[in-house]
This record gives sequence, C-alpha cells and structure tokens, in this order.
Amino acid sequence: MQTPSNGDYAMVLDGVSKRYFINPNRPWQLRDLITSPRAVARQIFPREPFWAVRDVSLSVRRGEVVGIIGSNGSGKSTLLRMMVGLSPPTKGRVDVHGRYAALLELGAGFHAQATGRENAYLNALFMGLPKPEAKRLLPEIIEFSGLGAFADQPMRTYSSGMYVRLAFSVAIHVQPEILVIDEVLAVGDAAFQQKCFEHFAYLKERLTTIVMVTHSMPSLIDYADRVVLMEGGQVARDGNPQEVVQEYMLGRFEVSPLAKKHFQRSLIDRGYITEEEAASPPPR
Amino acid sequence: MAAAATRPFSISEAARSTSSAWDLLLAVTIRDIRVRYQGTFFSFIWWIARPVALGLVLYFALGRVLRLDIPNYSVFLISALFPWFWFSGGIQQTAGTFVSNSGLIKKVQFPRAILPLSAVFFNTVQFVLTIPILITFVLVSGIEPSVNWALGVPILFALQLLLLIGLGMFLASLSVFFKDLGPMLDVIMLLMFYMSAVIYPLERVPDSYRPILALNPIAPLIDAWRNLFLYGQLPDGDLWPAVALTGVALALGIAVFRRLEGHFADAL
Repeated sequence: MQTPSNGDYAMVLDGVSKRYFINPNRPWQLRDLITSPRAVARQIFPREPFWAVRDVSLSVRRGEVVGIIGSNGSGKSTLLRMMVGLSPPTKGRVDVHGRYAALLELGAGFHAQATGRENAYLNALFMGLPKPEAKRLLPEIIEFSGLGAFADQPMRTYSSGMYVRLAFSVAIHVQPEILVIDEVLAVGDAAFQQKCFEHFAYLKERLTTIVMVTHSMPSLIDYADRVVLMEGGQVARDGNPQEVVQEYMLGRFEVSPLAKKHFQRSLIDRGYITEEEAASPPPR
Repeated sequence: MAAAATRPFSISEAARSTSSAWDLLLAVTIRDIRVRYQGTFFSFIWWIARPVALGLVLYFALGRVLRLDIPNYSVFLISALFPWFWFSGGIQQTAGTFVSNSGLIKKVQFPRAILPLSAVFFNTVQFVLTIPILITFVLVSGIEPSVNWALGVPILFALQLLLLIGLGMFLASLSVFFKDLGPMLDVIMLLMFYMSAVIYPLERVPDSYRPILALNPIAPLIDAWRNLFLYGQLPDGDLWPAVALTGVALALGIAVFRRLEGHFADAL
C-alpha cells in the first residue's frame, strides 16, 4: 500500500497532550485566610497538574472507522474533545480536514418546553447544518426518529427513549464528512440500535470518517477498521479491531470473569472465534 | 505560552459561515420567546407588572408620602423604569448564559457568542413590546406627543442595545471563571438602581457626587429616555459619557470574550 499523502487524512493529531489543574478540594474556612493564606491560595488557584492525555499522535484516513476503547479515566473523552476543538490541547496540534460533527452528548441543548420538532431543528443548526438544509431534512429526521404524533408535543412529555431517538436522528442527518461519537450507542431499544448500525454502514459507504468511543465491544469488531486502546492518557495499542479488543477484554484483570465469558460467547456467535479458541488462552 | 504562537486547532474548510451563525442566533431567540409566552398569556402581563408595580409603590412612597416636588412624578418614574428593567433584566440574564448552558458548551462546538446575544435580544424584544404601553401611559397622563420621539427612540434604543451587548459579553465571559460574579451582580444592580437617576432627576445630584455618577453608563441613558418622553427633548451633550462608556464596554466585552472563549468548555 502506498504511503498516503496529507490529503488522504481526515484528521491528524500530532503529539497532543492535555493538562488539567486539579483541585485537592480540602474545604477551608474564613479564618484560614489569616492563619494559612498560602494553603487557601492553593485551593483557589490549584496548581497540581494532571495530564489527562499525554503525547498522542494519531492519523485517521478519510473514510476510516476508528474505535477508541479504554477504562474510565484513560483519556478517551478528553481526546475526543480536543479532536472537535472543544478544548485546546496544551501541547501538540490537531488538524481536521472536512466538515465534522461531534456527537458527545445526545440532545445537548434540548429545551423541555419546546416541541420535538422545534428542538430537532435547533439542534441541527447547533450542530452546524445550514438553515435551508435543516428545513429540508426536518421531515426526514422526524420520520427516522419514529416519534409520530409526539413530534409536536413538548419534550417534557417524552420518555427517555423517545428523547434519545430524536437526538440520534438529528445527529446522523447532519451528514458530516467526519463524525465523532462518544458512547451514545448504548441507547434506544434494540430495533432502534439496529437501525443506527445500518445507518453507520451507509455512512461508511459514503466514505464518512467515523471516530467513536464505545464500550459495546462486539459491535466494534463488526464495524471498525481499526481500534485504539487508551491507557493512562496514552495510546497503548493501535491496530486490528479483533486483536485490540480481545487483548483489552481478555487480558485485563479489571474485566470481570463473567464479562469475559459473555464477550467470548458473542465472538463465537458472530463466528470470529471457535469454541476451541475460546477455551485456549487469548492470542498475544 | 510558546504553544499559543501556533494555533493548536485548525479546520481546513470553514465549518460555518457568518450567515449560519446569524440563523442560529435568530432561531434560539425565537425559541426562547415562544417557550416563554406559549400557553401562558399572562406571562407578558407579569413581565409588565414588575416595573408598573415598582412604579406605583415608589409613586406612593416618594410622591404622595414624602411629597417630592417633581411634576408628573408617575410618568417620571414609569418612563425611567421601563428602560431600567430592560437594562437590569438583560444584564442579569446575559451574565449567566454561559454558565447555565454549560452542557451545550461542553459538548457542542458552535459560535459561543450566540448565547449572550440571544439573551440580550430576548430582553430587547420584551422591551420593544412595552414601548406602546409606555407611550399610552404618557399620553393618558396628558403629555403631548412629540415629533422628537421618532428620532430619539431609535438613538437611545441603539445605544442601550450596544451597551447591553458589550457589558453582557464581558460579564458572561468572566462569570465562567469567576463564580462569585452572579451573586455580586445582584448587589451591584441593586446599588445601580438607586445610582441611576430612576427615582430622582440627574440635575439634582449634588456636584460632589457627580464623578461617581459619571462612571455609570446607564444614568445618562435613563435620564435621556425620560427627557424624551416627558419633555420631548432630544438627547443632548449629557449623553456623551454614556456613548463613550458604551464604546469602552463593547470593545472590552468583545476582547475579553475572544480571549476566553476557547477555554469555556474546560472551565465549566
């Protein structure tokens, strides 16, 4: 395979790091201002650095579907936030080539008193869809969400499932060239999830670049071209989805034996491994 | 600070045009107005009721009980209270917009200025809706309508709108990092109400206190609104301090917002 030129990349991260200052959060009283002003100053202006992401370099090709996995606090979400420009990296550079949409939270900015239709329209504008496009796509968005007559009811009357379906429907209709998703797949009923994965397959055909953080490991093996494993803010593994996911799921002590068993079962059901392979130690 | 020299984030194709940001701003403002007035016919009445009720109480206490010798004191109060409520309501709502929309700011990339601007617009629309009521009140009190209104209202309206935008952007940006600003602002607005010539004429302020009032951009504006409606006077030279302070507020608001907006998502 040829070395791709710069134009073949949708996203290039070069030595990206993010430092936060954490507050040890010891409560202080007014009299401490006099007795120990420096301790109070440290509380108000915390100077304890914490590197949430350390020196991550990552290139995502146009049309590639990349999964990011890792335990809680490994820096996945911070990485995504830097990818979409929500949070400037402390060090390094992020280059994004193309219109992107970030799906970090479903229905961010939904107003409980406004109707589903109003919220969907506004949400689409917030996500960067131009007004004429949003107007044109609105019927499709409502149709896909399957809300029916509820579309014109205020959103406070919605069940959480309906809420999520509408939000997701908006998100996938924004039609970005790059879609960045943070753990939103584990929502909606089974039928709706299936619909979403079908839509991902369609987006993939249209060469949409997708970067997603998820914990639904078996689906990741089905849909991702590549999986990145994050550990302590750094990239621990980057490669073939089945290998990386298997290493993470089967080679870690923090994954419970029951979860490991379920995971292996789903791999067998999907035909990725045989019963015998599951019984033997995982490949390294 | 060496990293600040190169832009750490770049998008090769401009993700958004100015016109789409404008569309979003209008859509948010319209949504807020609709939500506010939907199904509750009385909410507009309640909104009018605040300045009117305060006007009545002040008229009773100062005009009837203490017997201030100011002619037409009820109109004197009302013509100042309506613009004052536009100002104070606008400032207080706008200052909290980034903090109250933290969920949106942390998760969605969009032009941040939309939030304070839509809060300013929302309050401005409410004020515009009250202008006919103010004029009715003035006319019923037996004051002759003046041709100067047609010129004076747009001038004062534009000036106060720009002042609100400047101060609003400044306060909204700062309150992301300075959490005490919200409660502090409640106190400041209370003080400003009495320092803004709402209940007394500006020219009666003793000379020794003049420098303090000169720093208050809203005092000359309130006085100009009143002179316009009560005496049909167009804004004169007394308004220049307000014009200058509005310019400062606007420049400061935009500069502070530009400097800080990139860090909102991390700080909230």
